[in-house]
Amino acid sequence: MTRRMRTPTLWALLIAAMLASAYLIVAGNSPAMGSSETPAGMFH
Amino acid sequence: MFTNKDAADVPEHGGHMQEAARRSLISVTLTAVMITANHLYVLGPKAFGLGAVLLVGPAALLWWFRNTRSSVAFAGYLFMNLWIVVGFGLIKGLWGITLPLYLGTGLAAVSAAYPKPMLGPYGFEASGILMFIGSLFVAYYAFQLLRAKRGVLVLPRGLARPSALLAAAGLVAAFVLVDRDRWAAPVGGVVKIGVIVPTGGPYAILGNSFLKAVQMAKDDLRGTKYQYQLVLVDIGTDESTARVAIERALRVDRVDAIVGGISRFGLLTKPLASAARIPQTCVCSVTSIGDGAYNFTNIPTPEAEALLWVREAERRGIRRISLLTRDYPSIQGHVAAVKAEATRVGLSVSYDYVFPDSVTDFRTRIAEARASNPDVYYVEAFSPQLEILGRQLSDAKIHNIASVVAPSISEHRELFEGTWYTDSNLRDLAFRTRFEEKYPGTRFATHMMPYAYDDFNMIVQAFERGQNPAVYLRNIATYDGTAGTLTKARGSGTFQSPPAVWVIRNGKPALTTNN
Repeated sequence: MTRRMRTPTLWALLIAAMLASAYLIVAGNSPAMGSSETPAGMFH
Repeated sequence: MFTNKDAADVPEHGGHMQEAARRSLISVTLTAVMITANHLYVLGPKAFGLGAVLLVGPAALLWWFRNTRSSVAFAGYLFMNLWIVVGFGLIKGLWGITLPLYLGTGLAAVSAAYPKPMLGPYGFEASGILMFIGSLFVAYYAFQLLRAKRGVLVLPRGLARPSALLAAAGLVAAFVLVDRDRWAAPVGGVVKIGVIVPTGGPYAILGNSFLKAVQMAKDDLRGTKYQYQLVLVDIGTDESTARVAIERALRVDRVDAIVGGISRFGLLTKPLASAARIPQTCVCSVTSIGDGAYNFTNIPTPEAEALLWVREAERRGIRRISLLTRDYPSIQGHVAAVKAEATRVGLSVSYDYVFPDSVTDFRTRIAEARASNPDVYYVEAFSPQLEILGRQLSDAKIHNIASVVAPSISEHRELFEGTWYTDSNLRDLAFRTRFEEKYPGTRFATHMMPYAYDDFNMIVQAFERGQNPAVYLRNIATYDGTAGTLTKARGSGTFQSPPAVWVIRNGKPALTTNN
């Protein structure tokens, strides 16, 4: 791979890795929605 | 660092200039698209206006510069680049989204002194990351453009990389420093605790008794290091007035912590408490309010109620359940959990009637339910519908009734004599006696009051021990509460507590002996 090709490839891999790990973090951070998770009009 | 040369002294290299301008504009365009996508989550359709400015502005300025060599146009183009890089790339993209997402999550995983970051939907986070990365390209190609123009501002090649690395390291260090929650002694030795609960309209019974429970907890304090002042936040019963009142409590009254009740208002308080970096404990059944960073819920979950309810049903030999329930979110939360658990263990639902608040004649439905041969009638509604239904069931000589929580807050419990139900496990019965003696005429809501009392005391403990209250709450794994031992998993924002089986006996709630 030429140097000219290597840099964009590395950038693409870095961005893909960042987006994939962000997906995992967001998915892991989302609270599990229980049966009572209706946001409006909740009494208690 | 920078060397200034007079642009007029150095000839511009046309080919380089054209190519640098083209690349710069491409990077600006792509980043503007990312900025627009990201701001759709915050601004809605108005984000397209922002996007139009970011797309058209730089393109027009560059076109102007190419045609006239106007220094105003060039400066304007660079200014727009600077806006994109600093405003959207560094401040919003890096500081506001990328660092909290990666570094904030990592820090929270290793130390409770760091809050779990508030994350948005994946699209918001991903576009924020791309906004930051795009801004790096914008900065790089703007730099290249300057180099091609030669003579405006030139950063020597040898300094560019170390400068960037130093700036990145500085930002990371600053984030680590700023993100940490630290102990601060209360101003003047007075801890202000905001009490956020509605006390009017349909919330009057629960809200007022919640308030009394917190007042009792405060009155019970003895020999504390600090003074504790309750700031009663008058939130009304609708969300717009509530938001203003909560913001005022945070900004003007400068409360140090919040105890609250009713999920609807807990949800409203959640982002405000997080932004103010103070803890909110909420007697709320919507467990997603508890983020484990600044917000914590404390009440038995519908799933815990359902587990015990079905176990008790099995113990009583019940196989078929008839449901007569109000179409209200929290009630249907219980119903859904009971149905799921019943299905899991093989109990069947013989009849299922969900009614709106307008229904007052249940006799036909009661007859239909009876025809389905149930072993028990599961009933859940609010006063006065609950009492109307109870009276009509009684008239039909139906007394094998069960529920979750509802009979304990009925205005006429005698209608439900013999009814069994699940509710909080009030281990310390003297607590209720004391409450009723101190506040005669105030209804004791078993599923809220003990948690309000405990929530206040957990916050007091934090201050008395000289710990940041949010960090203290994050670290609690078990708490010896007035309604049994509360437990919380590491990183969770939900205090779990086991419910108990109650029965209405002589018109009053009584714990059954099989708890």
